[in-house]
Amino acid sequence: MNCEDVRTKLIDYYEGELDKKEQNLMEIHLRGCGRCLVELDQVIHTLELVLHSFSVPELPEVFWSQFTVNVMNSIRKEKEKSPVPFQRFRLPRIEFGFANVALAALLLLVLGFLGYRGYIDFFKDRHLTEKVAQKQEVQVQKPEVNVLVKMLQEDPQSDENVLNSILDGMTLDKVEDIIDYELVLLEMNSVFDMSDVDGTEAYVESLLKNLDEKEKEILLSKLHNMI
Amino acid sequence: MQEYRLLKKTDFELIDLVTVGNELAFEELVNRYKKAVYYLAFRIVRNHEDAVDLSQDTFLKAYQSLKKFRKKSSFHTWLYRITVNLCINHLRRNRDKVKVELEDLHAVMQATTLEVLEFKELQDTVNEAIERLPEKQKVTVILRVYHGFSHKEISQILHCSVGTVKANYFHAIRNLRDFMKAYVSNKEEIKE
Repeated sequence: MNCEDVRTKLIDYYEGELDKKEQNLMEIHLRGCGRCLVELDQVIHTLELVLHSFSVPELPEVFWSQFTVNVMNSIRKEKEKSPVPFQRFRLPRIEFGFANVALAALLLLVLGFLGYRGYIDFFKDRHLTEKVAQKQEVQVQKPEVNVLVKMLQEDPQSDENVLNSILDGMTLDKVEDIIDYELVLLEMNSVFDMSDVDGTEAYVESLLKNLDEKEKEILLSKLHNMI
Repeated sequence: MQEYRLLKKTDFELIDLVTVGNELAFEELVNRYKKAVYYLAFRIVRNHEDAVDLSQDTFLKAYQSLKKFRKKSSFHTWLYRITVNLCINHLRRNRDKVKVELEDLHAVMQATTLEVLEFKELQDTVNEAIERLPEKQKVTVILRVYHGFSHKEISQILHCSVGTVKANYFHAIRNLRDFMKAYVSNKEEIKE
Protein backbone atom coordinates (compact mmCIF):
# COMPACT_ATOMS: atom_id res chain seq x y z
CA MET A 1 0.00 0.00 0.00
CA ASN A 2 1.45 3.38 -0.94
CA CYS A 3 0.84 6.73 0.78
CA GLU A 4 -1.88 7.75 -1.65
CA ASP A 5 -3.86 4.54 -1.08
CA VAL A 6 -3.48 4.92 2.65
CA ARG A 7 -4.62 8.54 2.71
CA THR A 8 -7.79 7.80 0.81
CA LYS A 9 -8.64 5.14 3.40
CA LEU A 10 -7.78 6.99 6.59
CA ILE A 11 -11.39 7.87 7.41
CA ASP A 12 -12.57 4.30 6.80
CA TYR A 13 -9.67 3.06 8.92
CA TYR A 14 -10.56 5.36 11.80
CA GLU A 15 -14.24 4.42 11.60
CA GLY A 16 -13.50 0.70 11.43
CA GLU A 17 -14.98 0.31 7.96
CA LEU A 18 -12.10 -1.66 6.48
CA ASP A 19 -11.84 -5.42 6.35
CA LYS A 20 -9.19 -7.10 8.46
CA LYS A 21 -6.70 -7.51 5.66
CA GLU A 22 -6.86 -3.83 4.66
CA GLN A 23 -6.73 -2.76 8.27
CA ASN A 24 -3.51 -4.75 8.79
CA LEU A 25 -1.96 -3.28 5.67
CA MET A 26 -2.87 0.22 6.90
CA GLU A 27 -1.29 -0.44 10.29
CA ILE A 28 1.92 -1.73 8.72
CA HIS A 29 2.16 1.38 6.57
CA LEU A 30 1.30 3.80 9.40
CA ARG A 31 3.96 2.32 11.65
CA GLY A 32 6.62 3.25 9.15
CA CYS A 33 5.26 6.48 7.67
CA GLY A 34 5.29 9.63 9.79
CA ARG A 35 3.52 11.74 7.20
CA CYS A 36 0.53 9.44 6.91
CA LEU A 37 0.39 9.24 10.69
CA VAL A 38 0.17 13.03 10.83
CA GLU A 39 -2.61 12.88 8.23
CA LEU A 40 -4.43 10.34 10.37
CA ASP A 41 -4.13 12.62 13.40
CA GLN A 42 -5.59 15.48 11.41
CA VAL A 43 -8.49 13.36 10.18
CA ILE A 44 -9.28 12.22 13.75
CA HIS A 45 -8.96 15.78 15.06
CA THR A 46 -11.27 17.11 12.33
CA LEU A 47 -13.90 14.43 12.91
CA GLU A 48 -13.86 15.03 16.65
CA LEU A 49 -14.13 18.77 16.18
CA VAL A 50 -17.10 18.26 13.89
CA LEU A 51 -18.72 15.87 16.35
CA HIS A 52 -18.42 18.31 19.24
CA SER A 53 -18.93 21.53 17.34
CA PHE A 54 -22.66 21.61 17.08
CA SER A 55 -25.02 21.34 19.96
CA VAL A 56 -28.72 20.84 19.44
CA PRO A 57 -31.26 22.55 21.68
CA GLU A 58 -32.75 20.66 24.61
CA LEU A 59 -36.47 20.98 24.16
CA PRO A 60 -39.05 20.43 26.90
CA GLU A 61 -41.47 17.50 26.79
CA VAL A 62 -44.38 19.88 26.31
CA PHE A 63 -42.83 20.97 23.01
CA TRP A 64 -42.77 17.38 21.76
CA SER A 65 -46.38 16.74 22.80
CA GLN A 66 -47.45 19.86 20.97
CA PHE A 67 -45.39 18.79 17.96
CA THR A 68 -47.44 15.61 17.58
CA VAL A 69 -50.69 17.53 18.06
CA ASN A 70 -49.66 20.02 15.35
CA VAL A 71 -48.77 17.27 12.89
CA MET A 72 -52.03 15.42 13.45
CA ASN A 73 -54.03 18.64 13.16
CA SER A 74 -52.39 19.53 9.87
CA ILE A 75 -53.14 16.02 8.59
CA ARG A 76 -56.80 16.38 9.57
CA LYS A 77 -56.98 19.78 7.85
CA GLU A 78 -55.52 18.31 4.67
CA LYS A 79 -57.98 15.43 4.83
CA GLU A 80 -60.87 17.88 5.09
CA LYS A 81 -59.62 19.62 1.96
CA SER A 82 -59.30 16.34 0.13
CA PRO A 83 -61.58 13.57 1.42
CA VAL A 84 -59.49 10.88 -0.25
CA PRO A 85 -56.56 10.33 2.11
CA PHE A 86 -54.22 8.79 -0.37
CA GLN A 87 -53.77 8.88 -4.06
CA ARG A 88 -53.10 5.54 -5.58
CA PHE A 89 -49.61 5.11 -6.91
CA ARG A 90 -49.95 5.46 -10.61
CA LEU A 91 -47.86 3.53 -13.01
CA PRO A 92 -50.08 3.28 -16.04
CA ARG A 93 -49.01 2.47 -19.54
CA ILE A 94 -50.13 5.78 -20.92
CA GLU A 95 -50.77 6.53 -24.52
CA PHE A 96 -47.69 8.21 -25.81
CA GLY A 97 -49.38 10.87 -27.89
CA PHE A 98 -48.25 14.14 -29.34
CA ALA A 99 -48.46 16.07 -26.05
CA ASN A 100 -46.03 13.70 -24.40
CA VAL A 101 -43.62 13.76 -27.28
CA ALA A 102 -43.70 17.54 -27.28
CA LEU A 103 -43.14 17.61 -23.55
CA ALA A 104 -40.32 15.10 -23.82
CA ALA A 105 -38.75 17.16 -26.55
CA LEU A 106 -39.01 20.29 -24.48
CA LEU A 107 -37.64 18.60 -21.40
CA LEU A 108 -34.73 17.08 -23.27
CA LEU A 109 -34.02 20.40 -24.91
CA VAL A 110 -33.89 22.15 -21.58
CA LEU A 111 -31.78 19.40 -20.06
CA GLY A 112 -29.45 19.48 -23.02
CA PHE A 113 -29.26 23.25 -22.84
CA LEU A 114 -28.57 23.25 -19.11
CA GLY A 115 -26.05 20.46 -19.45
CA TYR A 116 -24.29 22.32 -22.23
CA ARG A 117 -24.21 25.48 -20.21
CA GLY A 118 -22.66 23.59 -17.35
CA TYR A 119 -25.39 24.48 -14.90
CA ILE A 120 -25.93 20.90 -13.94
CA ASP A 121 -23.52 18.01 -14.05
CA PHE A 122 -26.02 15.24 -14.07
CA PHE A 123 -25.09 14.21 -17.56
CA LYS A 124 -21.82 13.03 -16.16
CA ASP A 125 -23.51 11.11 -13.42
CA ARG A 126 -25.36 8.15 -14.79
CA HIS A 127 -25.06 6.07 -11.70
CA LEU A 128 -28.79 5.92 -11.07
CA THR A 129 -29.68 4.42 -14.40
CA GLU A 130 -26.65 2.15 -14.28
CA LYS A 131 -27.38 1.01 -10.78
CA VAL A 132 -30.96 0.13 -11.54
CA ALA A 133 -30.03 -1.57 -14.79
CA GLN A 134 -27.42 -3.59 -12.95
CA LYS A 135 -29.91 -4.59 -10.32
CA GLN A 136 -32.42 -5.71 -12.89
CA GLU A 137 -29.69 -7.37 -14.93
CA VAL A 138 -31.21 -5.74 -17.94
CA GLN A 139 -29.12 -4.24 -20.63
CA VAL A 140 -30.83 -0.94 -21.16
CA GLN A 141 -30.20 0.77 -24.39
CA LYS A 142 -28.99 4.26 -23.66
CA PRO A 143 -29.08 6.48 -26.69
CA GLU A 144 -27.17 9.68 -26.11
CA VAL A 145 -29.33 12.48 -24.86
CA ASN A 146 -27.78 14.82 -27.35
CA VAL A 147 -28.77 12.56 -30.22
CA LEU A 148 -32.31 12.47 -28.95
CA VAL A 149 -32.34 16.22 -28.49
CA LYS A 150 -31.15 16.69 -32.04
CA MET A 151 -33.71 14.28 -33.43
CA LEU A 152 -36.50 15.85 -31.48
CA GLN A 153 -35.42 19.32 -32.49
CA GLU A 154 -35.72 18.35 -36.10
CA ASP A 155 -39.17 16.85 -35.85
CA PRO A 156 -40.72 16.00 -32.48
CA GLN A 157 -43.64 14.03 -33.90
CA SER A 158 -41.59 11.75 -36.09
CA ASP A 159 -39.61 10.46 -33.14
CA GLU A 160 -42.51 9.03 -31.24
CA ASN A 161 -41.26 5.56 -32.18
CA VAL A 162 -37.83 6.24 -30.75
CA LEU A 163 -39.24 7.31 -27.42
CA ASN A 164 -41.73 4.45 -27.41
CA SER A 165 -38.96 1.95 -28.02
CA ILE A 166 -37.08 3.33 -25.04
CA LEU A 167 -40.17 3.10 -22.90
CA ASP A 168 -40.75 -0.48 -23.98
CA GLY A 169 -37.27 -1.42 -22.84
CA MET A 170 -37.97 -0.35 -19.30
CA THR A 171 -39.37 -2.71 -16.72
CA LEU A 172 -41.98 -1.59 -14.25
CA ASP A 173 -39.63 -2.12 -11.31
CA LYS A 174 -36.95 -0.05 -12.94
CA VAL A 175 -39.34 2.83 -13.49
CA GLU A 176 -40.60 2.55 -9.94
CA ASP A 177 -37.11 2.61 -8.51
CA ILE A 178 -36.14 5.69 -10.43
CA ILE A 179 -39.21 7.74 -9.79
CA ASP A 180 -40.22 6.59 -6.34
CA TYR A 181 -38.48 9.46 -4.69
CA GLU A 182 -38.73 11.91 -7.57
CA LEU A 183 -42.51 11.82 -7.62
CA VAL A 184 -42.74 12.34 -3.89
CA LEU A 185 -40.47 15.32 -4.33
CA LEU A 186 -42.58 16.65 -7.14
CA GLU A 187 -45.75 16.43 -5.12
CA MET A 188 -44.12 17.99 -2.13
CA ASN A 189 -42.92 21.04 -3.96
CA SER A 190 -45.74 21.51 -6.41
CA VAL A 191 -43.10 22.87 -8.72
CA PHE A 192 -40.53 21.13 -10.78
CA ASP A 193 -37.11 21.68 -9.31
CA MET A 194 -34.66 21.48 -12.20
CA SER A 195 -31.69 21.31 -9.89
CA ASP A 196 -32.80 17.87 -8.77
CA VAL A 197 -33.09 16.44 -12.25
CA ASP A 198 -31.07 13.44 -13.19
CA GLY A 199 -30.38 14.34 -16.80
CA THR A 200 -30.51 10.88 -18.26
CA GLU A 201 -33.05 9.99 -20.88
CA ALA A 202 -34.33 7.20 -18.64
CA TYR A 203 -35.23 9.77 -16.04
CA VAL A 204 -37.06 11.89 -18.57
CA GLU A 205 -39.13 9.01 -19.83
CA SER A 206 -39.93 7.66 -16.43
CA LEU A 207 -40.94 11.07 -15.26
CA LEU A 208 -43.25 11.63 -18.17
CA LYS A 209 -44.80 8.23 -17.83
CA ASN A 210 -45.90 8.97 -14.34
CA LEU A 211 -47.02 12.53 -14.42
CA ASP A 212 -50.69 13.27 -14.36
CA GLU A 213 -52.12 16.09 -16.44
CA LYS A 214 -51.77 18.67 -13.68
CA GLU A 215 -48.16 17.76 -13.03
CA LYS A 216 -47.44 17.96 -16.74
CA GLU A 217 -48.88 21.45 -16.83
CA ILE A 218 -46.64 22.52 -13.97
CA LEU A 219 -43.62 21.01 -15.64
CA LEU A 220 -44.48 22.54 -18.98
CA SER A 221 -44.89 26.03 -17.58
CA LYS A 222 -41.65 25.68 -15.63
CA LEU A 223 -39.82 24.62 -18.77
CA HIS A 224 -41.30 27.46 -20.77
CA ASN A 225 -40.10 29.89 -18.14
CA MET A 226 -36.64 28.45 -18.24
CA ILE A 227 -36.41 28.72 -22.00
CA MET B 1 -55.65 0.36 25.22
CA GLN B 2 -55.34 0.67 21.46
CA GLU B 3 -52.42 3.09 21.90
CA TYR B 4 -50.68 0.56 24.13
CA ARG B 5 -51.09 -2.14 21.49
CA LEU B 6 -49.68 0.18 18.84
CA LEU B 7 -46.51 0.66 20.88
CA LYS B 8 -45.62 -2.97 20.28
CA LYS B 9 -46.12 -2.90 16.53
CA THR B 10 -43.31 -2.61 14.00
CA ASP B 11 -43.12 0.37 11.67
CA PHE B 12 -44.37 -1.69 8.75
CA GLU B 13 -47.33 -2.99 10.75
CA LEU B 14 -48.22 0.56 11.71
CA ILE B 15 -48.00 1.66 8.08
CA ASP B 16 -50.44 -1.09 7.11
CA LEU B 17 -52.85 0.22 9.74
CA VAL B 18 -52.46 3.81 8.54
CA THR B 19 -53.26 2.82 4.99
CA VAL B 20 -56.60 1.40 6.13
CA GLY B 21 -57.42 4.62 7.94
CA ASN B 22 -56.02 4.20 11.46
CA GLU B 23 -54.87 7.69 12.40
CA LEU B 24 -53.54 6.64 15.79
CA ALA B 25 -51.07 4.36 14.06
CA PHE B 26 -49.59 7.35 12.27
CA GLU B 27 -49.48 9.27 15.54
CA GLU B 28 -47.36 6.46 16.94
CA LEU B 29 -44.98 6.77 13.98
CA VAL B 30 -44.74 10.52 14.60
CA ASN B 31 -43.91 9.88 18.24
CA ARG B 32 -41.22 7.39 17.29
CA TYR B 33 -39.39 9.62 14.86
CA LYS B 34 -40.24 13.25 15.66
CA LYS B 35 -37.04 13.92 17.62
CA ALA B 36 -34.75 12.32 15.05
CA VAL B 37 -36.46 14.16 12.19
CA TYR B 38 -36.39 17.51 14.01
CA TYR B 39 -32.70 17.16 14.94
CA LEU B 40 -31.79 16.21 11.41
CA ALA B 41 -33.65 19.25 10.07
CA PHE B 42 -32.10 21.48 12.72
CA ARG B 43 -28.60 20.33 11.87
CA ILE B 44 -29.15 21.06 8.19
CA VAL B 45 -30.98 24.39 8.38
CA ARG B 46 -29.54 25.50 11.76
CA ASN B 47 -32.58 27.40 12.81
CA HIS B 48 -35.15 26.22 15.34
CA GLU B 49 -38.28 27.74 13.78
CA ASP B 50 -37.46 26.48 10.30
CA ALA B 51 -36.52 23.06 11.67
CA VAL B 52 -39.90 22.80 13.42
CA ASP B 53 -41.79 23.74 10.25
CA LEU B 54 -39.73 21.41 8.08
CA SER B 55 -39.97 18.45 10.43
CA GLN B 56 -43.73 18.87 10.76
CA ASP B 57 -44.00 19.16 6.99
CA THR B 58 -41.98 15.96 6.69
CA PHE B 59 -44.63 14.01 8.56
CA LEU B 60 -47.45 15.60 6.60
CA LYS B 61 -45.78 14.70 3.29
CA ALA B 62 -44.99 11.23 4.58
CA TYR B 63 -48.65 10.70 5.46
CA GLN B 64 -49.78 11.94 2.06
CA SER B 65 -47.29 9.71 0.26
CA LEU B 66 -47.48 6.64 2.46
CA LYS B 67 -49.20 4.54 -0.20
CA LYS B 68 -46.18 5.06 -2.40
CA PHE B 69 -43.85 3.64 0.19
CA ARG B 70 -43.20 0.09 -0.91
CA LYS B 71 -41.16 -1.02 2.08
CA LYS B 72 -38.01 -1.54 0.07
CA SER B 73 -36.12 0.49 2.65
CA SER B 74 -36.86 1.04 6.30
CA PHE B 75 -39.51 3.62 7.12
CA HIS B 76 -37.06 5.90 8.90
CA THR B 77 -34.70 5.93 5.89
CA TRP B 78 -37.61 6.99 3.71
CA LEU B 79 -38.65 9.60 6.26
CA TYR B 80 -35.13 11.05 6.43
CA ARG B 81 -35.06 11.18 2.67
CA ILE B 82 -38.13 13.40 2.72
CA THR B 83 -36.59 15.51 5.49
CA VAL B 84 -33.34 16.00 3.61
CA ASN B 85 -35.16 16.94 0.42
CA LEU B 86 -37.38 19.45 2.19
CA CYS B 87 -34.37 20.95 3.96
CA ILE B 88 -32.26 21.17 0.80
CA ASN B 89 -35.12 22.86 -1.03
CA HIS B 90 -35.55 25.23 1.89
CA LEU B 91 -31.84 26.10 1.82
CA ARG B 92 -31.97 26.68 -1.91
CA ARG B 93 -34.95 28.97 -1.59
CA ASN B 94 -33.28 30.93 1.19
CA ARG B 95 -29.76 30.87 -0.13
CA ASP B 96 -29.43 34.63 -0.03
CA LYS B 97 -30.89 35.08 3.40
CA VAL B 98 -28.30 34.78 6.11
CA LYS B 99 -29.84 33.65 9.35
CA VAL B 100 -27.98 34.15 12.58
CA GLU B 101 -28.65 31.44 15.09
CA LEU B 102 -29.17 33.24 18.38
CA GLU B 103 -28.06 30.28 20.40
CA ASP B 104 -24.47 30.82 19.28
CA LEU B 105 -24.60 34.48 20.14
CA HIS B 106 -25.94 33.74 23.62
CA ALA B 107 -23.27 31.17 24.22
CA VAL B 108 -20.56 33.69 23.35
CA MET B 109 -22.15 36.28 25.63
CA GLN B 110 -22.30 33.81 28.48
CA ALA B 111 -18.73 32.63 28.08
CA THR B 112 -16.97 33.59 31.27
CA THR B 113 -13.45 32.46 30.68
CA LEU B 114 -11.10 32.94 27.79
CA GLU B 115 -10.76 29.18 27.46
CA VAL B 116 -14.48 28.77 26.97
CA LEU B 117 -14.47 31.63 24.54
CA GLU B 118 -11.64 30.05 22.56
CA PHE B 119 -13.47 26.73 22.49
CA LYS B 120 -16.61 28.54 21.38
CA GLU B 121 -14.62 30.30 18.70
CA LEU B 122 -13.29 26.97 17.52
CA GLN B 123 -16.80 25.52 17.46
CA ASP B 124 -18.03 28.49 15.45
CA THR B 125 -15.17 28.06 13.03
CA VAL B 126 -15.99 24.39 12.49
CA ASN B 127 -19.64 25.30 12.05
CA GLU B 128 -18.72 27.92 9.51
CA ALA B 129 -16.59 25.36 7.70
CA ILE B 130 -19.49 22.88 7.62
CA GLU B 131 -21.78 25.62 6.40
CA ARG B 132 -19.41 26.34 3.50
CA LEU B 133 -19.32 22.75 2.29
CA PRO B 134 -21.15 21.90 -0.92
CA GLU B 135 -24.74 20.85 -0.14
CA LYS B 136 -24.35 17.09 -0.54
CA GLN B 137 -21.05 17.00 1.36
CA LYS B 138 -22.67 18.91 4.19
CA VAL B 139 -25.67 16.61 4.41
CA THR B 140 -23.44 13.55 4.16
CA VAL B 141 -21.33 14.75 7.10
CA ILE B 142 -24.43 15.47 9.17
CA LEU B 143 -25.96 12.08 8.46
CA ARG B 144 -22.72 10.25 9.10
CA VAL B 145 -21.19 12.10 12.04
CA TYR B 146 -24.23 13.23 14.00
CA HIS B 147 -26.74 10.54 13.12
CA GLY B 148 -24.36 7.62 12.69
CA PHE B 149 -25.84 6.31 9.45
CA SER B 150 -23.92 3.77 7.41
CA HIS B 151 -22.75 4.67 3.93
CA LYS B 152 -25.46 2.40 2.54
CA GLU B 153 -28.21 4.10 4.52
CA ILE B 154 -26.96 7.51 3.43
CA SER B 155 -26.97 6.35 -0.17
CA GLN B 156 -30.64 5.39 0.24
CA ILE B 157 -31.50 8.71 1.85
CA LEU B 158 -29.64 10.79 -0.74
CA HIS B 159 -30.60 8.48 -3.56
CA CYS B 160 -27.10 7.98 -4.84
CA SER B 161 -24.52 5.22 -4.91
CA VAL B 162 -22.45 4.15 -1.91
CA GLY B 163 -19.37 5.21 -3.87
CA THR B 164 -20.75 8.73 -4.22
CA VAL B 165 -21.47 8.87 -0.49
CA LYS B 166 -17.94 7.75 0.34
CA ALA B 167 -16.47 10.29 -2.07
CA ASN B 168 -18.62 13.09 -0.65
CA TYR B 169 -17.66 12.16 2.88
CA PHE B 170 -13.97 11.91 2.06
CA HIS B 171 -13.94 15.30 0.34
CA ALA B 172 -16.02 16.88 3.08
CA ILE B 173 -13.57 15.83 5.80
CA ARG B 174 -10.64 16.88 3.66
CA ASN B 175 -12.24 20.27 3.02
CA LEU B 176 -12.96 20.71 6.72
CA ARG B 177 -9.42 19.76 7.62
CA ASP B 178 -7.99 22.25 5.10
CA PHE B 179 -10.31 24.96 6.39
CA MET B 180 -9.19 24.31 9.96
CA LYS B 181 -5.53 24.28 8.92
CA ALA B 182 -5.98 27.66 7.27
CA TYR B 183 -7.76 28.94 10.36
CA VAL B 184 -4.99 27.78 12.73
CA SER B 185 -2.18 29.17 10.59
CA ASN B 186 -4.04 32.46 10.28
CA LYS B 187 -4.35 32.63 14.09
CA GLU B 188 -0.65 31.91 14.49
CA GLU B 189 0.25 34.64 12.04
CA ILE B 190 -1.85 37.13 13.99
CA LYS B 191 -0.13 36.12 17.26
CA GLU B 192 3.32 36.62 15.73
